[in-house]
Amino acid sequence: MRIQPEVNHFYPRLKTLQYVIILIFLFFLSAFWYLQVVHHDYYGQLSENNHLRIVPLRAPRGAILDCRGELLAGNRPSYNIAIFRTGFHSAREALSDIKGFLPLPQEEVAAVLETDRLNPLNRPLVIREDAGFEEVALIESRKVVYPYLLVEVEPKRLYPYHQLAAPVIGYMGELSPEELKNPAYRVFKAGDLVGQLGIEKAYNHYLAGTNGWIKQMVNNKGSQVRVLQRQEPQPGKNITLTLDAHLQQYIESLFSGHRGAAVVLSPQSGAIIAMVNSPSFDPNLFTRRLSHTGWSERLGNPLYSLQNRCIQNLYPPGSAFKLLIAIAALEEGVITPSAKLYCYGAIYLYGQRFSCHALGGHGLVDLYKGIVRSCNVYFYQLGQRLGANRVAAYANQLGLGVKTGVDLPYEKEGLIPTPQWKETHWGGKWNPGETISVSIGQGAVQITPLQMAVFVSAIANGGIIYQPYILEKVSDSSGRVLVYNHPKVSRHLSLNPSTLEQVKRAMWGVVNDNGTGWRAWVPGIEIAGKTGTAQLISRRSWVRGKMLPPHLQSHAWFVGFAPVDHPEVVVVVLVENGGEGGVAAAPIARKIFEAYFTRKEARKTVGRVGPSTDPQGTKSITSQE
Amino acid sequence: MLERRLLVNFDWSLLALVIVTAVAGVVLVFSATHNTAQPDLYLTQLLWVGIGLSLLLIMLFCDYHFLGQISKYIYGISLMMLIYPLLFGSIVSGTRRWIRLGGFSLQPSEVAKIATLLLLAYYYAEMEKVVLRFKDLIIPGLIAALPAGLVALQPDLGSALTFVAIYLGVSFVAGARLKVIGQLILIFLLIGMVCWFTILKDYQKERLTTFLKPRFDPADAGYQVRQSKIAVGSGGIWGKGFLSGSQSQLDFVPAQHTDFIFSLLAEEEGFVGTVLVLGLYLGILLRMLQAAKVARDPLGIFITGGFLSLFLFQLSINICMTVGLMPTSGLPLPLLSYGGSSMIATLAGVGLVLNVRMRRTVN
Repeated sequence: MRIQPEVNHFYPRLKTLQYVIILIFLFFLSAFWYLQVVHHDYYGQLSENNHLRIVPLRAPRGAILDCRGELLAGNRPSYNIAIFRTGFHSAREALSDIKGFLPLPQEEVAAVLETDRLNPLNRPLVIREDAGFEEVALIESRKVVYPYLLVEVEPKRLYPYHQLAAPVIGYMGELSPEELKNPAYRVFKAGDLVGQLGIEKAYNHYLAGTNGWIKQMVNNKGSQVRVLQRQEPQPGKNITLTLDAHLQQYIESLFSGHRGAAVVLSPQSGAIIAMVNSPSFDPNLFTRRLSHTGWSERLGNPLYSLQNRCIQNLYPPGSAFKLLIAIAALEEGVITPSAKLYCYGAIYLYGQRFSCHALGGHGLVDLYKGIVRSCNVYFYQLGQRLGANRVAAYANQLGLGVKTGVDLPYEKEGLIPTPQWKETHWGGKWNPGETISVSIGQGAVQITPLQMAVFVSAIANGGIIYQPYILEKVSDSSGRVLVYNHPKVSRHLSLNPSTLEQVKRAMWGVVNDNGTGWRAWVPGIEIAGKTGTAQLISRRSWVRGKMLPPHLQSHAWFVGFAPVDHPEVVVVVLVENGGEGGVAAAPIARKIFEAYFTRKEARKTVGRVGPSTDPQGTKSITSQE
Repeated sequence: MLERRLLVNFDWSLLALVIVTAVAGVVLVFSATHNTAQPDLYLTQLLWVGIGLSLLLIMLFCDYHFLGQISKYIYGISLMMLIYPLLFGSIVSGTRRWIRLGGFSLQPSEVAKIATLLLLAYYYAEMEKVVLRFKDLIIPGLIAALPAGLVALQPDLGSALTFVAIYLGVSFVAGARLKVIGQLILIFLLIGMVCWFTILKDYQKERLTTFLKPRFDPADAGYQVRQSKIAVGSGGIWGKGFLSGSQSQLDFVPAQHTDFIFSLLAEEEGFVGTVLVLGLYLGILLRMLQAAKVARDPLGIFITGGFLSLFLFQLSINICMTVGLMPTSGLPLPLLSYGGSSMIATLAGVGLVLNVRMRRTVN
């Protein structure tokens, strides 16, 4: 026991050591608490991003077909090169890692990095769309070295007719950040392509399939260890339109070189048979995600337009508006059909001179002559008698200056001015002279060509306002019809039958009785119509005989239907800056009527010809569903 | 030789804690390797545990005073063993750490740790001083520096630092003034700085610097630490389940059966498993501290205190690495990590502590 007393001396040091041990363990405990309990979610996510990958299986989008089954929008297979960023700190780092063998231009890198922020980490980032065969082969051959690169198959939108009805059909584009927040697009992810215009947008929910995916487990080298789950993609639904592609194509050819719009509508259902916009665009150019450079070039081009002029552009209706004034005047009893007013070629109202287009005047004018010759003076007086408020009320009832409710996006409302409107929007008092301008469809009156078609349909069908539509049916990939679109009546107007008879008779005269629309005359077809020349600049400041610059030329209208007794088709033609309606628009309308009835005749004589691709083998979509 | 009264003071609970921890290690090694090219590594580990326990038993038979007396010879042999691989050893992943014996490899640095510890303890005990001044620490410093330098030449920086820990630990317990300890730490920092600009290999520097900015490169040290941290954090409270740790099983965490075995535990067994195993370690350390407290003479205290410091140092460095607070050092976790030399040396060290404890009242 010689050392025994000595050992006590070391106790304080051992005691210190004890405290050190306990402190260290408390520190460990808090470190693990911090990582495993407090920040478990964060690290759990990182861990999942490490070993779980979602390989998307893109669903093919539903086809868009015309009324005879002609393919307007389909799919073709394409290959995208995508990269998994897991394991990298940033997409930028991932891209620089493959720079050596798959160089990307600077702007593409920027575009990829832009989508990076919106894309979940365990999903691949598309870095090259629609890759060529050589690139795909290159990636596949390096799969072992670059296991985080992926070649994914994507059915890509294909529009076989290119610009045909493009503003109506629409195009595809990457989901925008705003859409990403929209609950209607909840099922989509950043980077998904969705319909951006027209049918593609309006019926995106039918057309878009449900993407599938493979959830795979990968090791630290990025190679698949096993597949955890697989969800097969569900193809989108096919959509059949009421549109007739061949008629549409023919009308578009009539518009070549002109800016304008045309609507062909069934007055008995509201089905849209043709909806022409000129110029148009090629939606095939928009199916790439990363081609922003091409965009700006085309958007600056005046012969390249995304606008669906039929519903998105507003035009003054010009003399075509006189049909409405006539109906309102007859209904309100401010005039009788036979009552005559005298046209001297101008009239002074409220101290202002309002002129007629006929220099010497039309002489004695009754309703028939007023419409057939499109006498301004006659309608100035009807307008004055009616007043702006009654005109607006009738216009809105008959579908002008209100949305038609067509199943296409971005429809504009237009405007029929009233004193109250002017007060709230401009603060000024209504000048009674404005009523006079409105009565010939000038002034602030703004409508769309489709509204005009609905209005003319109501005249043709005896006062029924249909909600125009373009979707005939939705069917699944096996051909089973899921949704059948029935015509929808917006409202029945209780108009006096004789009112419409008077107007229809006069419209017949416009085309067939030496009227302003004689150029629309087709032998054998009883066409009723009305021309319109919407001036963009006041006649007073227009020095007679001097040519107007092209962008100030009047818009030319022709609206009509046929046959006059049993109307089955309504045609509205608008040629922007075309000049006189009877000169620029009526001949186009004539060709449309001609084409429509020739095709119908052919069907009658030849009968139902088998293949739908045969241009003669038509099926009438104008008759009631 | 093992008399009845020796068994009276035998610390059964320390032995039990150590065996339980080592067996837990075998189970974890199984989980870490069952899916790899060496699925039977856990059996080998079991063999190491067996050999280690046998050595532990043998250590009990000889009085630690005797071991102290022959410590300079053990130290000398261990130095030679350290020199051997530097001269004749083959390079394994850039270092010469191993002595090959038949089919097995021996890591002489593990032997040297125990030998140095014994010699230091014996030296201080023989000095019979209560307060140690700076000059008293010079010779022990050289005793530790010699093997540390040889290990650093292999190069194995982590193990070299372990000798510093042993030196400081034994000196602290032996009564070195705190001021002197402080001075020593300053000196080591200075040496460290000098080494940085002269001796340190690029890969070692890289390990230390890239720790803060890891890259995607499985060979990169910073990446390893980051993945280990993810493994730990993703384990959560209850863990992902035995054999189901995606980070470890899919090779995101490297060396998951050796240096990073604790991150495998944390991932698969969660916070609960972590706390349990930390509890085992705490128990072992406190029992060893108890052995030091009741030791009969300074030699016993120094041996026990020194081994405790060694054990605590390795444990702390490894766990700090696991939770991403330190760069990879290549230091195994005592009792859990796969590795024969480490396991055997650790169990031998525990044998020393048990030896001291059981002879507390024997003359």
